[in-house]
Amino acid sequence: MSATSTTPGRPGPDLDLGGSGGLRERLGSWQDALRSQSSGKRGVVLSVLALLVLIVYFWIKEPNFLGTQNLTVMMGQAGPLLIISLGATFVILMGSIDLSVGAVATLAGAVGALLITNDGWSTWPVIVACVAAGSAAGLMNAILSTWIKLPSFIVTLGTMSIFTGITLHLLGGKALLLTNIGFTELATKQTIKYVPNVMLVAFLLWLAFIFINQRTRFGRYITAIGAGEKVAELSGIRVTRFKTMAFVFSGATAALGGVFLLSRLGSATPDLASNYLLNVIAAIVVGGTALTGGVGGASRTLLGVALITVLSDGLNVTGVSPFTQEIVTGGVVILAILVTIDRKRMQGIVK
Amino acid sequence: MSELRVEGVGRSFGALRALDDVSFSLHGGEVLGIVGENGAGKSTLLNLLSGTLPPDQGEIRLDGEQLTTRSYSEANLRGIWRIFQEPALIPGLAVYENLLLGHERQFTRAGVLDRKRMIREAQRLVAEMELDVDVREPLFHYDTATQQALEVARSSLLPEVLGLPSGFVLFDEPTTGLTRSEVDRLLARMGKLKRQGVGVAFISHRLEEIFEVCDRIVVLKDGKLVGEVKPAEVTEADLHRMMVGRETGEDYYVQQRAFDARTAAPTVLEVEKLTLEQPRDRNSHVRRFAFQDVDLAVRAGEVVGIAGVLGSGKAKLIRSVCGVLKPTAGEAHLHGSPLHGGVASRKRRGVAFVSGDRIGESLIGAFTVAGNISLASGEAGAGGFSNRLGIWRRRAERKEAREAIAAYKIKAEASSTTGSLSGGNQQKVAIARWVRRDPQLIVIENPTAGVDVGAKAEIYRLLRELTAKGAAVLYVSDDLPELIGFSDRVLVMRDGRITHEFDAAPGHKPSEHDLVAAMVATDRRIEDAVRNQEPALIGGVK
Repeated sequence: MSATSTTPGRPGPDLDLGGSGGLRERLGSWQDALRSQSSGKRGVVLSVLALLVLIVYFWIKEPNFLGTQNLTVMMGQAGPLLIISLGATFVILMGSIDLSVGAVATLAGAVGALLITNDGWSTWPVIVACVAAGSAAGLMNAILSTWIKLPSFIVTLGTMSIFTGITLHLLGGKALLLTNIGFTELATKQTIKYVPNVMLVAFLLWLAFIFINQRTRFGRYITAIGAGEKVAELSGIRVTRFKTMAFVFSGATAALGGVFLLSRLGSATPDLASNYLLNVIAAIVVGGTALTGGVGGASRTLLGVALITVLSDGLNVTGVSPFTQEIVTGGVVILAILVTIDRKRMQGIVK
Repeated sequence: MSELRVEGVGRSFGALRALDDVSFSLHGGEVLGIVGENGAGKSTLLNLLSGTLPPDQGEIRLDGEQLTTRSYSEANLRGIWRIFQEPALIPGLAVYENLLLGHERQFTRAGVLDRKRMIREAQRLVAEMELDVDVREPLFHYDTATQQALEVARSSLLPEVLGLPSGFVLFDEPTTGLTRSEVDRLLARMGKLKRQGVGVAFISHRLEEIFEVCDRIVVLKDGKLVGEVKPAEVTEADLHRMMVGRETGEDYYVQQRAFDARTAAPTVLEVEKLTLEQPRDRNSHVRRFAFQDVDLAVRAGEVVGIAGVLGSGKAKLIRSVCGVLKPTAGEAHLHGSPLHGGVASRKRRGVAFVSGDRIGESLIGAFTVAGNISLASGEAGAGGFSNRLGIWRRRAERKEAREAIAAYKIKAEASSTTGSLSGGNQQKVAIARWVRRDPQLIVIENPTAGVDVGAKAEIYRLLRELTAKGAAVLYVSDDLPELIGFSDRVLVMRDGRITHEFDAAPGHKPSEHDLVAAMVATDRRIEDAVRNQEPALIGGVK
């Protein structure tokens, strides 16, 4: 440990903006307002800029990148990722984490495939059943982490494995091909031309989550819990109840994402959404929601999802080797966080 | 004799001139008091002196040579030490690791820490501060006041232990949250440093402490030096006037007794045989109590203060009353019916709790003033900030925040983040959050700790407005003048029991000496009984 650590966590200069002068007071709060606003804007502007740079780069390398066909493909990929990321954003916003989202999505896909092929269920009941299963999985996470009070990282690491195991049992370790054409059209059908329905649903859900995040008591309390759980508790907020709701939300959106993934790919496999966990977390963090909670929200998760999708699709289209793709993706995620997060405001403390 | 000289120093943050053209000097072998309201620039000044912030005007000279340290540890090497307002310690580490944090190199042999020697040195530090602390325990086992005392030990004693120069020690409001006897020990410590030739700078809101130990006092106001005086030449009132440009009048504590205790106003809070037994240590059969069989009642319109030394159980008692802690026996009644559940259920019954830990428990620093005021009132319906669908009423929230800002003279906008406010304004926001709910009972820890004179008066007025409407106030405080001045009744807790009760109506207030005598051990029988775990006798001598 270096000698400079004698002043850990010391807040910056004591500004004491509430000084006694009238002018000082006005200047202080004006500055404050400007600062908080510009940092939010700065993140968005830089994220959009990074996204544009990537798009232009891929477009120059491969003009078909912006062709309608490829755009439709990208939206088909982005839809499930966005849906799964939305619920997880709330969990991260309140300072916990849900590592089980990918496993829940896969499980929901398996449940859906079985109900369709073995029991002949139609589309809507399947969606309801899968989302219910996902909510139950979220409730299990909530009970373990907020009621029994175990760290959410460990709990969801464990349930991730449990849910994966259940999926393997359900599918007997094999892929299950769907024959129901109506269901496979659920995600890919285009109500708006060139826009697959999965993207449309994801977009509408995104708007709903922004509203929940910014305009409802639930959204406000989730942010408060992330920014200061003890403060929220001592203010008489029923912290356990709201945390439980967030975990259930996360399970529900993960399952919904899994259903659409099943529909899009036409078969349930034990690794349907297995690589989604890291993409979800990357999308949320690149979008500007801090892993420590209390900062960010659903609105910017869309940017993170767009960045991840453009990157993976662009690398594919431009023919970069899959081995190199992994390296580039990792590098760009780190770079994106580097430019979007205002590290000055974190006062040198990074976790 | 060494000299730390500040020459025309200034520092801006954006458009805010936090410190402007300040000049004075601090000599070895003296204690210099630095006073001023919150926001006057005291902490900025200490940041400049301790190397954590460079001035943008003027310079600081150490023995004639310009000081250009860029970090606190560099300042340490030049002999400048600082005691921070909030302990800069790490809860998860053992006490000894905290005390020697950043100086591990001195205890390293061949790359391996000599923990035994670290523990030995730490024990020496703790013993010299007369603290009852096992240095091998993790820090979080001890409460804020103990942690504060450890911080003091670290910065004022460490140079000796490490053989580093200790030319100057800067105390930044070290007495906040300390009990009187701890303050006395701290002031004695300053005297000792001074006799050793160390230059001591001392910031405190408690002017009586300043008068007690300082040789000279500099007064800051709005970032400027407005006076340099000798304690013998001025009175507290003079200093108040210099700091704020007004005098604290007679009605400072706003104690217009709207009720008479003897006319039996209705009882709001009644506590019966409340007990909190602490978890037993492993392999130990000794039952330990945070407090035991406590009875107390607070009437409508009454302000009751609880005094007691650190560890007397006063903090845990009031936290049990408002549902933060769960007592192991006994009951609390509000208006005759028992209180159950945690903070959330008791909030609905009209109980409010303002924690003394403003940063960790009371306010969300990243939230706006409006967001903090509305935090406890998210329910739907009249007075709540959401509608039946759970949608937040943002316009109502902003409007009410602006009203509170005007009514309580909070120096901020509704959209300012509370983290950027001064202590006094933060505390007003914390109290405003509960005042808007018209609580029946408001429970507060150290209502004005770290708050400047002007804001203090405002907070007393705010609470008195509640009692005028029939609410009851129950608070603990480590500030004796406040306990005496603001309370209608003062209870004294010792070793988990209420041992004394003083009527504090205007006209027959107890003296500070009365309270201190009641707080600390004066009766050998009580001491022995406590030590021998004889509850019967403890109750008997009461």
